[in-house]
Amino acid sequence: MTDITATVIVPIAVVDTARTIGGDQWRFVRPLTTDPTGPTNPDAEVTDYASSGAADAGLLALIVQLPGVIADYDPAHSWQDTLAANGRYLIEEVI
Amino acid sequence: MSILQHVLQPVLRPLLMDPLAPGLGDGLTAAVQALFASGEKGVMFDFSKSSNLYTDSARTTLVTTSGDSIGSATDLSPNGKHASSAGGARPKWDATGFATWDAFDDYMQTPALDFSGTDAVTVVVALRKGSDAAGAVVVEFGSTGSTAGAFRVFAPSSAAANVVFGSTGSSTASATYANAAVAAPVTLVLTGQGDISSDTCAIRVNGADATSSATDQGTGNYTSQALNIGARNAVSVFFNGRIYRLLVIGRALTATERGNAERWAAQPAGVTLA
Repeated sequence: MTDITATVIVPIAVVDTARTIGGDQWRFVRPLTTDPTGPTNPDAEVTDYASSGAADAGLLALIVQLPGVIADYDPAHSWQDTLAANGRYLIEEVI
Repeated sequence: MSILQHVLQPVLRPLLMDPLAPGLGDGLTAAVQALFASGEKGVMFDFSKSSNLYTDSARTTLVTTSGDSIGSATDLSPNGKHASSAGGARPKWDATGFATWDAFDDYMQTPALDFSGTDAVTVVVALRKGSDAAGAVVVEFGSTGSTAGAFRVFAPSSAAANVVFGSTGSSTASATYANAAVAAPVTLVLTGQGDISSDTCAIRVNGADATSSATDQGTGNYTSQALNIGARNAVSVFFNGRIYRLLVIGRALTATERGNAERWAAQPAGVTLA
C-alpha cells in the first residue's frame, strides 16, 4: 500500500460509494455546503463530504473516477485552501 | 575535576538539557504514572515525544520527523489503552513537541475505558486552541459527552472564546469558562474535575480555578466506553489545534497530585502555571 496526500471532496450523491471504496483510509465524514452564504446560514444543506490526509493511493485512484469528485494533491495546500478554491464551506458544529 | 566543577555540574546540567530530551521531566512523568498505583483506570498520553508515537495503528513504525501521521499513541499508564486512528484522518506530529489536529477529520480513539467503578474523574490536558470558529472536542468519553456516565472537555463549545468541562450522571452539568484569556489562538493547561455524587464540575485554567457548576448531575457512575481525542466519536466536532500531553484518571486528585499532573502537562507546552 502506498499513501498519497490529498484533500478530496465528493458530492453527496456518491458519498456512500466513496465511503465503501475508501474504507478506513478515506472516510468522508466532514459535511460541507456550497451555499454561498456559508456556515452562517442555518438552513444551508449539506452538498458534499470531504476527507483529508495521507492514505491509500490505490483506493483514491478509484474514488476520483466517481462523478463530481475534486481532489487536491498539493501537500502545501491546507484543506481550507482546497475548500476556498472550490467554493465549499464547512457547516458550523455546535455542541 | 576541580572543586568548582563538582559544585557547578549538578546545577548546570539540568539547565543545559533539552527540555524534551529523555531524562529531564522523567521524574515528573513517573510521579504522574504513580497516580495509577492503586489500579486506577485511565490513560496518559505524551504527544511531545516521538518514542511514544507510531505512524501505524499496528504500532510497528515510530514517527521520526515533523509531519508524520500518528496512527497510534502509547498509553503511558499501566492500563495500556493505546489510542489509534486510521487512514488519512490521523493527527500529525511536530518535532518541537506536539500533535496537530486539523479540524477537518483527524481523530484518535482508545479501546473502552472501564470507569463503571467510579463516579469521579480528573482530566488534565495541555493544548493550543487554534480557532474559536466552531465547537470542538478535545476529550470526550463515549460517543457524546452529555449522555449518562460520560464527561467531556471542549475548546470551544461553540463559536465562542471559551473552554468547557462537563460531567454527566443521570443528568449533566457544564463548567463553561468564557474569557478573553482563553480566546484562540492560545496555549493552555486545562484541568477538568468531575464527581457525580457530589455534583462537582469544575475547570481550571493554567493551574488556577476558573469556574465551576453545582448543577445536579443525578446519580450513577461513569460508564465503560471509548475515549475520543480531538473529535466526537471519530466523525464530527473536530478539534483545531495542538495537544501536548493528556491525563485522564478515574478519581479525584489531591492538590499535590493535581499540581504534579498540571506541571507534567505544561512542560512541553511552555505554559506558566499560576
